[in-house]
Amino acid sequence: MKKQIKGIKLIALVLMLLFLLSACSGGGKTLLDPKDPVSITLWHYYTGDTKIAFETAVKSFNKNLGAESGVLVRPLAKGSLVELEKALSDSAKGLINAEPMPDLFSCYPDKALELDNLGKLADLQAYFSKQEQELYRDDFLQVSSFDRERLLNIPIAKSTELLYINATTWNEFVDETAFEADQLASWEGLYQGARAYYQWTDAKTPEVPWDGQSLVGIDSLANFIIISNKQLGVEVSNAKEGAAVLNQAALRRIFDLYNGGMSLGYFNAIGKFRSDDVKSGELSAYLGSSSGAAYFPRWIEKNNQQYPIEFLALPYPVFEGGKACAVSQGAGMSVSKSDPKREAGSSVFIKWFTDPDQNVPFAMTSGYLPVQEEAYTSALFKTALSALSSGDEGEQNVAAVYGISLKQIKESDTYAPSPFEGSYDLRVILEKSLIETSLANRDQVAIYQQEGLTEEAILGAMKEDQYFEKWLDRIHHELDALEIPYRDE
Amino acid sequence: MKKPMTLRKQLSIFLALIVIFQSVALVVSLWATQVFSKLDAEALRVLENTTAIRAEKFNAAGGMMIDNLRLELEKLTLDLTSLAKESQIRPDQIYQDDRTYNAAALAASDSLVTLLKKNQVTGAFVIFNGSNADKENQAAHSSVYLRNTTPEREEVANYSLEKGPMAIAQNYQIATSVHWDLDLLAEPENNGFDFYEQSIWASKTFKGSEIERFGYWSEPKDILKDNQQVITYTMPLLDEEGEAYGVIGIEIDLPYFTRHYLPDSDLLYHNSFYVIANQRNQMLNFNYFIPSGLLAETYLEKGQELALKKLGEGTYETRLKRLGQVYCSLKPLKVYSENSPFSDQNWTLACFVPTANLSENSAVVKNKMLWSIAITTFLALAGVLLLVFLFTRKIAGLSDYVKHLSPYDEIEFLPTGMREIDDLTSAIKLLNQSLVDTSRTTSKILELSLLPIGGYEVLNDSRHVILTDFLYWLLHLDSGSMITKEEWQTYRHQLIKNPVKEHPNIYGYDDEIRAERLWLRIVEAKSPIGVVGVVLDVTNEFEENQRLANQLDYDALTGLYNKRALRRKVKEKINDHPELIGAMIFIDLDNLKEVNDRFGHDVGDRLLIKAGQIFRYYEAVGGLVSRISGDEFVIYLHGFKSQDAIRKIIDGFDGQATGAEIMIGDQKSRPICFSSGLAWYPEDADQVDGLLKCSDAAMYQAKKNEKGCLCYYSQINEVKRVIESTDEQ
Repeated sequence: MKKQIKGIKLIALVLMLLFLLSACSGGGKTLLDPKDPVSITLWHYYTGDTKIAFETAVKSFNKNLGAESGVLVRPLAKGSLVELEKALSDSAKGLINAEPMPDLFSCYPDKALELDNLGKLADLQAYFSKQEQELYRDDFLQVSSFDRERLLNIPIAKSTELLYINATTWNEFVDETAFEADQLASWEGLYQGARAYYQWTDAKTPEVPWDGQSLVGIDSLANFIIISNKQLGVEVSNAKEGAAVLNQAALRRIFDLYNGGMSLGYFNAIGKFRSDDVKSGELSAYLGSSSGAAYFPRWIEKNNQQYPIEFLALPYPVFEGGKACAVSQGAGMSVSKSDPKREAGSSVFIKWFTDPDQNVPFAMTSGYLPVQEEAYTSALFKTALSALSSGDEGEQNVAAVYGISLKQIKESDTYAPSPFEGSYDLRVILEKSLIETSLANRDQVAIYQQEGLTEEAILGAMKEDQYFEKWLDRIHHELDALEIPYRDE
Repeated sequence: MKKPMTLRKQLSIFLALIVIFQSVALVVSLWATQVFSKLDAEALRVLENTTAIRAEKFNAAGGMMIDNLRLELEKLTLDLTSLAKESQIRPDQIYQDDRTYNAAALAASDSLVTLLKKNQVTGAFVIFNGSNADKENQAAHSSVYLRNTTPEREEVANYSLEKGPMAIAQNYQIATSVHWDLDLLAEPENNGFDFYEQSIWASKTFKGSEIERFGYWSEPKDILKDNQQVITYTMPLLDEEGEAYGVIGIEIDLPYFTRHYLPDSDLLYHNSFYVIANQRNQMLNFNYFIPSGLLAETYLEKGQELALKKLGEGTYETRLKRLGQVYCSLKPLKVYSENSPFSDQNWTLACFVPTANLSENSAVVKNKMLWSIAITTFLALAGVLLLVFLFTRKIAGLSDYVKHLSPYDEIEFLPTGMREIDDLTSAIKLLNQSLVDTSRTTSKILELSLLPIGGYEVLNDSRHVILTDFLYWLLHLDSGSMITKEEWQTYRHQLIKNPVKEHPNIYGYDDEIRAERLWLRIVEAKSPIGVVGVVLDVTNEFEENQRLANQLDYDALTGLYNKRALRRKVKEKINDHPELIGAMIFIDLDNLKEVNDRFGHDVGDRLLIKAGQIFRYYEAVGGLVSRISGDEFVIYLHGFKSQDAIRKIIDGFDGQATGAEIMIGDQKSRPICFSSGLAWYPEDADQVDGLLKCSDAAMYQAKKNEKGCLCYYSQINEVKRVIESTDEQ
């Protein structure tokens, strides 16, 4: 009798293990039925050519693997990333007039964590086996894996940031001022370059004071603040502590540099994107995402006339004495918690789309980096890269960006802050407070200029503690308002 | 005779037939009422309705869009006209003047932003009649082209500047696109610039007509060379003389057109899709078409023509190469005014549904209905069987109980819960009780009557034999013990192994335990269900009969055969062996009358007894010795091969009989004398009577000749004559 019970227990154990194994490895594939395809709503924030490339890829998926496996993806552009994220938050919170949560959506890891806290995300561990997870670049997938347990966000395409320069204008400036391009490797050098450029252009019309041109703009101020902190050894968005770490020394260097540049017009931000400011001739350089390489103009427009320009790309600058570091970013995709069929269908699409065969062509439309390790060594990637290098001017620009991006991603320290509860809002607070403070200070500078103060005197005034402290106070105030933990040091 | 059916079977068949009849009736009524065809017709009607509603929505949206465009065109025309006047140029020269053009571009962008906000479109544009940036290039046209990737939202920040001065991007804080440029280049090939040329052509051809007449819908094309197929609607910018100097238009990219204007949320059936194509008579032309999605692109081929078979108003049937037979609901879309030169483009909204899919609901309903009927029938049949089983179980149990009941068991019927049946069993119980009582009474009476009678019953379908007490007693068995058929055969064999000759049904039975022979009368009668037998002990009667039979054959005084017995026995002997020789000796005592007279009848009787004993000598040789009357004795010897053998025996008797005497009183004795006559069989006679006569005649002759001697019949001719004369008399 005892032997019998032992036997039954053994059989039960084996059956249970088989069930668990099949549940783990099956990934719900069996749930999908080509005869009854599951319709997956996908929200994304791609625009322009990237949107077209993405939707073309989706169409190809629907026609091929989707049709075979019973998944029909319906993409919907939700505007900018900010709009997409707002729509997601509204849906997740179930606000009146909010649309239902999409099955699949573009999303940054920090937003994913926020949505997960509302209980809206599916854990993709159930749909991505260990082997499948290993296909992704470690540093890309790592940030999406929360607590090493839940897998909430799969990287789709990554980008880094670099310095884009209108080489035609820049070379003219360098030729006349003997300014060394090497100096642009540091933030301090860039600042000095921008100041020199302002002075150089201001000098062209001696009769008009203070009409120098801005050299450079920064697309993502949040990245600038976070990466600069990192270069100076501080993790301002600190997931380990689950809090913001406000290192005054580091923040002061950052503030003085940006505030000084902005308030005196060495730096600028006019259009929606800094690449547009280059197109309009307002700027001659900008710090922006590698994924925006295709947007860098081949000519600029002045008075409705086109002037061809040369292209130059340089690595992201580093604070003097700091450690080389650039951002690694890019929205991944997350899956809403729904039913296993929809979750499985969404996972099938993510797997297909991140496969180098699809991921490389998509990434290459605009300087994105593919997310699977294999993509970088694949013949497809190399062929595409060499095709870009020998393509038209625009494509050559993209190819040049790849040269720097790959080097930055592979060699220098790329950094992507791990998310924590509140990290998304922290980015917004840092960015908004800095730009608004600086713009407000520009008004003060205008007053100083009208009062006849010299550039040196104005710069000195701008470095007074009060401006920095005002900024810091605002940060404290806004963090408190949102109950985001922080620590001053 | 046909074997009768059980109650259970009869009930089951009856109820099962009712169930089957009901199911068949249901199927027939479904068929007769054509429920499923009606479902299909309803599905077709729903399809037609859906298409009609979609067409109405499209017409409404399209109408509003055209109206909005017209309003915006009027506003822009006013702006541009006044700009031209300010610059003292004609409107068609606007593009040539930098300042005026920049102002015109900004004014155009305002109109385009309004258009994008008001309409569900993905883009809006103004194209001028020449290029400001590249004046020498005839193909270049200064344009302002704005795109909106999120038409659902009125968020200007999401717009992108595709064509036009940067000032517009800065003015609205919108991004420029990757393909941002200042001019749009005309493509003379493949109708590539029709969205510009056609409406201008119409304005020239029908000069002075209302503006809507010049509106033109382009077929899907990639205007901005960014792999995005778009549909456009354009109207000409006209100066005060009605001369065109550009166009204003809206653009809807195909993915959005599909999602917003041909949404598949409308489509009720699998594998169904919308398409906008050109219908002429009963043909659908796909020279260009607007597919609603992947399915339409997969199943329809550009350039093909589909012949339609009309089914009803707006509904057709046709065949698609890769999808097979399909229903098709067509509704014309109103995209042009009736007097439009482009009205022959005839946009028709077609909704395709595979025939099988449209009928899917009715097929599913039919399938489920038939399955339900089948399952219901099956369950009802199972229920019938179960209920019948439960219903008849107690009755069958009763029947089974009675069948296996031993006559010695007491009957106890379990109540069935059915009043009639329970009444019946009570009546049977009562009947049985009275039968048992009667039987017991009968047995008792039989027992008391001391009649040694018993009975048995061997039933075909029983392993045991029923015996009455007498048989248990007879066979020395314990009363009431169960006797199997095999055991009974042994007992029965013992009972009937000694049948009695000439007495049918009488058997001698040796009861070894009681050490006596019994005589039994055993009679059996066969019935359809077995054998019934009666055993009667007839020992007393049989033996009494035997005794009586003896008395009839023997002479009471001498114990010898009487004449009747002699005649029978002689006949038997002759019949048994007619070929052998026999002799009949007729003896007459010479002095019986004298002895009777002198010494009385007692002595006479003793004389007769003594004489009898002497004659018994012949019994030793198988002779039949008899006293046939008073003093006449007859002896018959038979079975010899010669007369000599008989003579020797007679000689032997003579030796013994000579000197035989009888004592009279104490001292005196008298010799026993007799005369005898002998007749030979078959020499003298071959029949008993003949032999008696012949031997009697010979004895008479002997007595006449000399008393105490033996005379042979053959020795007396006289005797013969006497006999003959006697016969003649």
